Amino acid sequence: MSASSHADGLQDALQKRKVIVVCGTGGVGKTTVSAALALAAARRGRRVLVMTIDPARRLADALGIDELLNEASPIDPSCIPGGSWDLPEGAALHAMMLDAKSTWDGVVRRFAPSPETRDRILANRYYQRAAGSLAGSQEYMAMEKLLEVVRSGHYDLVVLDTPPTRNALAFLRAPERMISILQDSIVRWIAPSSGRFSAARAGALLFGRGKQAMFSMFERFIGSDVLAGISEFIGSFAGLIDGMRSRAGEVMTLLRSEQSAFVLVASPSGVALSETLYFHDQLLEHGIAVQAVIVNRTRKELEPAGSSVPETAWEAGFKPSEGHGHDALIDSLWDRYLAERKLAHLDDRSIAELRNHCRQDLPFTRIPHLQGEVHDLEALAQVAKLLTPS
Amino acid sequence: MQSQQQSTIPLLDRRVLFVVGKGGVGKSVVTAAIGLFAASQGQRVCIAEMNGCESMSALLGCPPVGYSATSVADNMDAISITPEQATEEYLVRALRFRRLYELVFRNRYIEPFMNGILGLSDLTSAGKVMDLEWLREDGSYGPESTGPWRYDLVLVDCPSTGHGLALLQAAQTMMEVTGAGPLYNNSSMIHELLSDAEKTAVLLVTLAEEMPVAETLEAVTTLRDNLSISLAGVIMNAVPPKLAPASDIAAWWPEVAEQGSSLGGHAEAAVAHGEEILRRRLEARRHSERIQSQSRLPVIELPLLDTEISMDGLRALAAHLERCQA
Repeated sequence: MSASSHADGLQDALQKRKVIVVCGTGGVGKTTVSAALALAAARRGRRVLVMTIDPARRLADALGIDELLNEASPIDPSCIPGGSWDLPEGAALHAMMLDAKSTWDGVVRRFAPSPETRDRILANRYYQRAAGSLAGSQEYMAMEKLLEVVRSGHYDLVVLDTPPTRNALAFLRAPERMISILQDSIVRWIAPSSGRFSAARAGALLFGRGKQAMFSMFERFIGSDVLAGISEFIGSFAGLIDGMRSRAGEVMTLLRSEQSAFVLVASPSGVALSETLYFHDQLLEHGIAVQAVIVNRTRKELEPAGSSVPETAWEAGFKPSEGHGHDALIDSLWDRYLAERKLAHLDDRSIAELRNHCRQDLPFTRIPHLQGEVHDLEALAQVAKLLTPS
Repeated sequence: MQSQQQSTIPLLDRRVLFVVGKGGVGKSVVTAAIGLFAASQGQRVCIAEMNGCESMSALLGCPPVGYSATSVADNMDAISITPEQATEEYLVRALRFRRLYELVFRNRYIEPFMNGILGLSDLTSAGKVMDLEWLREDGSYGPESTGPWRYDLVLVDCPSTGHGLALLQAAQTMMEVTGAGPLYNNSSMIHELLSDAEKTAVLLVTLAEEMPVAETLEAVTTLRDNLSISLAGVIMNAVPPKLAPASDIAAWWPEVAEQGSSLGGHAEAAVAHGEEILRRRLEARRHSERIQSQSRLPVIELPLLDTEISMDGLRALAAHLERCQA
């Protein structure tokens, strides 16, 4: 088997789809794979944007640039040594690192019903905090930004690198959940007449009637200033929430449509494997078919395959020598070679297990742990080549 | 060639060690290995896994670990802290009665904001770690208790970097948001423990690869800029062990490689694997020097195990840590 068995699903996605969502558990190399997919699609003449939500600077590192902002930055693959990565006429490669806070700010600026609301939200100290850390906030922002760039018409393909989650659906459901909680909370925290927080009213609506005394205890515990500040934050979203909801719905429709493809990145190590199986099943249950699986960082298949391995280096034909340390070096080399082969077999077993688990025609692509590291365009191009053998 | 990398990290002279690193670098394995090492030195150890991601049972071959400390090896307990349980325990204690906790924190219109805006669940998870540090042999804890400690060392297997840092910052965040009151007081106690360099430190784990190293250096900057927590050092995990003493490699490798290529077949493949090991070791050296020069922190290397992770492998890592202390 070559590094890539067959990659039809991947080819199809790279050539025709508008959105590729790259998902998988933490530490499997999603960011590198996303960047490589984007590069491969750009090579096919498309205008591509790769977007990451990761707060760390992995994508910037992977693309060999100093910094990525919340705006798309052009990447120039023609500087890859060897010259074979010039993009065809009309193609383009851009990258963007999503910063949840800046994206929130952008949404508030664009969609706030009035300048007053906009300023009130942006100035709220709890907003400053919540923008980055409210559960589902990052996922919601990824969807807002995705919709924005798809609508902009600047790109033929957007490759979205998702944040690491154990749960595949967390990414898809988080925005809807966040919006619905925010929406329901507005009603409960805020008096419609005054638009302000009222402890008495909130006590009844949040806790139920007759439990105001409990609410006062809670208020003393948490601090009444804190409660008032949070409620102001919640209330200020009243005018934005319908738009948020409809845009989130629009993204879900886009992701479930033929225009989008999900690519699952896996790693052959034991724990990551079982998480990947879980991930795959969850997507399926949610009505999302994975288009291709990329098994990253597998051990190189050690040639020659199949033939039985001599137990010692001497049986393989190495000649001993009197020189001090010579034979010990060869013995140690052989031990390590045997151990590596064993681990390579374990990798194969894991991958076979994964394949058996998934539908039969699901394309699998193996990317071996590369010599050197994938942190500049040249190495990335190597991965891109493996992903799309021509 | 060896001299530079053989720094030491004092692993046994703190009471709480937070093990922080990018996803996939082997934090849990490193945590378990340090635990076994400390336990073998007679320390009573508690491993605290955060966020309900329990991997000790898989690593140590013990029954699943839950929210109450259970013995997982000689001298070693483990506990899996979920934010929900930590929050419940804390609030039931702080709010005095469970009903109020249920009204507030099982409430979907309140709970998300308490966690999202105030970072409450990170705070209560950090608070649970503090409880473990406080715990006395007789089961009492708190500033007034006396007597021998239940645990000499609490090892915290943190969530991957971003969230791990949020956990460490939770107390400070809560102090800034609240300014006064019971939450403020609790946060300041946790903050005090985290800031006590005699008691508490962060240990960073990385791989000898560009991205985890970059993330480690970034975490060092974030921690130094924003928190007054002490940094113990960096563990570079999964470095391929050396094939032979450097002098023997220098003397014989060209000849051995030559033999391998002319023999072909497995001999040639073995030599190619040997070249890969040498290359990765050089790479590890380069990363280690980069970390040391940029962060001024000691770096110790842990060998890549040539088997699937097992108790034997963990004991081998523990033995390696012991040699690094000498």
